[in-house]
Amino acid sequence: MKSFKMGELAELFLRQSRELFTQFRKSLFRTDFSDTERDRSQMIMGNVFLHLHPVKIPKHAIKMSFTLCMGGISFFLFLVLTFTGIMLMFYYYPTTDRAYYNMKDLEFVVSFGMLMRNLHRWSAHGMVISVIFHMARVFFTGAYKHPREFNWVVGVVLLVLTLLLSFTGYLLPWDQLALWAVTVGTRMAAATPVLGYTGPFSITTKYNDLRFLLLGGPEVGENALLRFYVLHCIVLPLVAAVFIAVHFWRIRKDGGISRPL
Amino acid sequence: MGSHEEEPVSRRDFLSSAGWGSLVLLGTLGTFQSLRFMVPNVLFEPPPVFDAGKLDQYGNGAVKFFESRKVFVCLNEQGVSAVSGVCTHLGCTVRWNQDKQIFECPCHGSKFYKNGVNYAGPAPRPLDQLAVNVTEDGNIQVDTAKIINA
Repeated sequence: MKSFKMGELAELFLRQSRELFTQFRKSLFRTDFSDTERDRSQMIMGNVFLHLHPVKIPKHAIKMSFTLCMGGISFFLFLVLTFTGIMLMFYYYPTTDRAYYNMKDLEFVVSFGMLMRNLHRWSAHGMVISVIFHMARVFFTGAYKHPREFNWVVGVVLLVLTLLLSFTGYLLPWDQLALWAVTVGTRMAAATPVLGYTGPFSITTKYNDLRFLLLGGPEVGENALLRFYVLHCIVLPLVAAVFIAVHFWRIRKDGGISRPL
Repeated sequence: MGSHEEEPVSRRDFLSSAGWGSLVLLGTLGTFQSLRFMVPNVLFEPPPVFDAGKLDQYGNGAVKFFESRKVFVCLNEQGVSAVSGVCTHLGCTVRWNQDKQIFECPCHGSKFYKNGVNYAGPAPRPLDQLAVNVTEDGNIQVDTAKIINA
C-alpha cells in the first residue's frame, strides 16, 4: 500500500477539486469566452433562454414605434396569466357548490388573493386588446404579405385561442354573469348548421348536438364547469404555447422582426 | 449648472440602474407576496373539543371510535380515557381489535395494549392520551389539542 505524506494528500485533494470545478464549469459553459463576434454569437445560441433572441439585431428593430411591441406585450401577458393562473388554481375547486365561494375567499380571505385574481383578470382583458392591436398593426403595415402569410394564419389561430381562453375563463367564477354569459354564448354552438339543434338543416336534438358536447349536458352545470376548467387550465394553454413557439420561430425564419419598407 | 467636480452620472447609467433596481425590488416584493399567498389564512377543521356522548351510555370496558377525530374513548375501572388513534410510528390510524383487546396498526404492524402502551412492532412510544373532561350532566368531552402523556 502506498503511503502519502500530508503535503501530498493536500495537493492531490486540491488538484482533484480543481478538476471537478473545471468539469462543472465546462458542463455549464461549453466554450471559453473571449470577446469576439463568434464567441458572442455562441453565448447567445448556446443558452436556452437567450437563443430565443436573434444573435444580431438590426438597427430598425429597436425602433419601437413601428411594431409598438404589441406581440411582445401579448406574450408578456400570456406569461403573467400563466403564473397568476397557476397561483389561483391552488385555491380553486371547479365544483358548483364551491367555485363561487373559492372566488370570494380569494378576494377577501387569502393574503394577496385579490391582487392575484385582479392581475389575472386585467391581464386577460389586456391580452385580448393587445392581440387585436397586434393584428391591426400587422395588417396596416402590410406585414402579413409574402413571406409572412403562413405566420399570419398562425396568428389568426392564436387570436382564436386567446378568445377561447377568455371565454372558458369567464365561466370559472361561477357567478350570475358567468352562468348567463356562457348560457348565451354557447347558443352559438347550438346554432351551428346541421350539428347544432337550433341551426339550419339540423339533424340533432338538445341532447346530442355540439352544444351538448361542449357543455357535457343540455345546460350549463357541473360538467360544463369542469370541462371549461380543464380547457382553460390545461388544453388551451398547451395548444397556445405550441402555436406561440411556431409563431416566434416563423418570425426568425421569415427574416426577423418586421421593418419599415 | 456644471459646477460639480465629480463625474456626472450619464443618462444611460442612471436608466440602467433605475431599471435593474426596480426589477430587483419588484421581484423581491413579488416573491414575498407569492409565498404569503400560499400560506392559507383559514383552515376548514372541526374545533378541537368534541362531545363523545353520555358517560352512562358506555358499558364497562367499552371502546368507542370517533373516526373523523381519530380518537378512541375507553371506559374501564380506572375511569374514562381518550386514546389518540394516530400511530406513533408514521401516523397511520390504528384499529381496535375487540377479540385480542389491543390496538393494531395496519401499516407496519405496531401493537398497543388497551392503555395505549406499545409492545410490538416499530412504534417508538405509547399512543397519545388526550385530555378528557366529564361535565356535571355526564357528558364526556375530549380535547384533541391537549395531550397528557402519562
